[in-house]
Amino acid sequence: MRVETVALGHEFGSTVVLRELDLNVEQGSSLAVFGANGSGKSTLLRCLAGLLRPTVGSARLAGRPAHDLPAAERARIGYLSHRPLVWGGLTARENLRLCAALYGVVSDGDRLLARVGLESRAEVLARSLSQGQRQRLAIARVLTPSPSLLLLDEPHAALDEDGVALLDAILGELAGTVTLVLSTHERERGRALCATELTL
Amino acid sequence: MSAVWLLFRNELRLERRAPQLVLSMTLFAAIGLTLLHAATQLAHPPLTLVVGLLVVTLVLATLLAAARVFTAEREDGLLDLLLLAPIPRTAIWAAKALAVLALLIVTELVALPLFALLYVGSSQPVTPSPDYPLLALLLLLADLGLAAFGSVVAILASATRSRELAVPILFLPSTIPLVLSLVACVRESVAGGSLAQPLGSLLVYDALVIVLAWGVCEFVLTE
Amino acid sequence: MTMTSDRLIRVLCPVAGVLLAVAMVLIFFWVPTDADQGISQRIFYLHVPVAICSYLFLGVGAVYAVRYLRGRDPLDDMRSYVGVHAGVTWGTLVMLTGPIWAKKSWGVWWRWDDQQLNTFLIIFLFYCAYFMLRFSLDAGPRRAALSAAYAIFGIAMVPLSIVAVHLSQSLLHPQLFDNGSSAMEGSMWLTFLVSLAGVLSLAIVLYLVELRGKLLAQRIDRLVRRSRGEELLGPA
Repeated sequence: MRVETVALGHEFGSTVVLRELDLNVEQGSSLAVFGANGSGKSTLLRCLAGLLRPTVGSARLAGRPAHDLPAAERARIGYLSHRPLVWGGLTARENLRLCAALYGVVSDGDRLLARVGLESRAEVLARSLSQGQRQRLAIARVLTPSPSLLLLDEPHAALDEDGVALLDAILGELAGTVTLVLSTHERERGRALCATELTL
Repeated sequence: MSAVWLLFRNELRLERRAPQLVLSMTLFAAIGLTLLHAATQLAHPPLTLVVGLLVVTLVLATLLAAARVFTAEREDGLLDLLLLAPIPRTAIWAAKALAVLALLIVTELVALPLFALLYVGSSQPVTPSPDYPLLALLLLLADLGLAAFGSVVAILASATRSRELAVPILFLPSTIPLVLSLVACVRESVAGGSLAQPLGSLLVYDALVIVLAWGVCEFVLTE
Repeated sequence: MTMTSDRLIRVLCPVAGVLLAVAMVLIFFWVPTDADQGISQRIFYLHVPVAICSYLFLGVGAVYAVRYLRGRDPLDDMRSYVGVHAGVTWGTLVMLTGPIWAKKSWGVWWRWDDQQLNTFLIIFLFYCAYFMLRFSLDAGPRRAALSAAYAIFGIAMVPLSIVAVHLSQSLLHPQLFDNGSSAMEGSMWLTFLVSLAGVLSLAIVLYLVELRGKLLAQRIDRLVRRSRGEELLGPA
């Protein structure tokens, strides 16, 4: 899925966080987004995911406005924020099963849980998992519908060393087939994972 | 399986595992009925008054649901998850409304027998005795409107800086026509009059609120 | 839009002044006293036009709310907000003049069994809550969208009010419009229409003036911020 922005700008109240941003990420390519706290990384990813309507300019996915995508196109987006976005009152397995049902795909929860190293925690309520484990569960959730675009907002933040290596391995496997936009503070990691970079 | 049913089942499952809302609402209804009797202290109170008190108690119980039912979506960011999913945005509101409706029905399953105990079977019973099938139908119709608009208010209030203040102020004025119509139904029933007009008013209220909620929910869910 | 509203203000201002002056003369010196209600009935010539204006501007608020949700033009949000503000302001006058008329007509300041008064009270309370919602949100598209949604719900309460009047068995609200035998003479109708036209003209002028004032304040704010070197998106 191709990602582009044209003169994208966004403000919250009287604070401008993004200004005149043009970017173009071809299908299957990858972009690392760097920047200090408050530079607009999360805002950019939310605009790309269609969760925020930009104040000026546009964010487009596969040529269509991101905030106005039809349901079938939204299904191709995998979004990971620095919050895990999992239901605390459901078990790990139930979270993935619900996600699969919402996306209309066959649930492959057990395989995904094994992939992220949570197979022994499948029946544990998500709120009882550690923060790093919840982030791993979120990674499994993002992969459930086999997205063609991954928007990852500081995904390594809550992960331990093994978790970081796991995520990097997954992203390495998907390289070239999935479009990736990754925001991170770690420049070395970002450059290793992505073909291009942008600093806000 | 439809998105509405999926999300509604999820709500039921979450509530079953941690039954905060249903316990709070049923307990509130019980406390409310007792408190209101303390405030009126009438021997043989008129049925219209007591039914009005019952409905107001349920309206206030809905406030509890409206204040909490959208918390996870806002505070834990789950709304982002639901907005990204390939489901109609209206399903998010509809599932919440059905959840609030279910909570209200469960609350009434406790509140109605308690009402019968405290106000009909007591030493100073209401006059006349209520027509329970009619009362149950009226409460169900009221629940539809309360659940539909209560869910919208939950979404609106969750975006504000002061959710606890916003919920009652935004929600309560809209319930006044509902309460008026419902009590008018009881009054007409007691007087042996026609229920067509007040019942029609109640149905129009529900229909308008549901249609409008369906129409605007996408706009209040997205940024 | 600015030139049109300028012209409209310049035309309507004197028109409103003349019509209201004529209305006052008609009300106090010309129209006959109502046989049933006596001299207190004359407040009707102000109370009802003010109530009509209140409903009208709440409707304007709802119409622009729908337009905002469809087009996301911030100007529509402002028009909607000013419409609701005008509706509530005129509504406050209704809530003040209504009880005065009630006291003179019925001997009490308020009747709970009167559907018209009570449903107007409900709408008034509902729209007062609109401001509570609006002021608890930061300025921006989210505030505009949520306010618009609430304004649309509010206007749905108005037909409920009208339905309630028709459904009501009560004939206690002073009846002056009658489909059958005429309860109002021709002179009363004329006075009412002149007063309605005057109040409506004044209401439109005040709406346009408030809207222009708010838009100017916004523009000044942006210019001040730009002069301070602050970054802005979009035109000045």
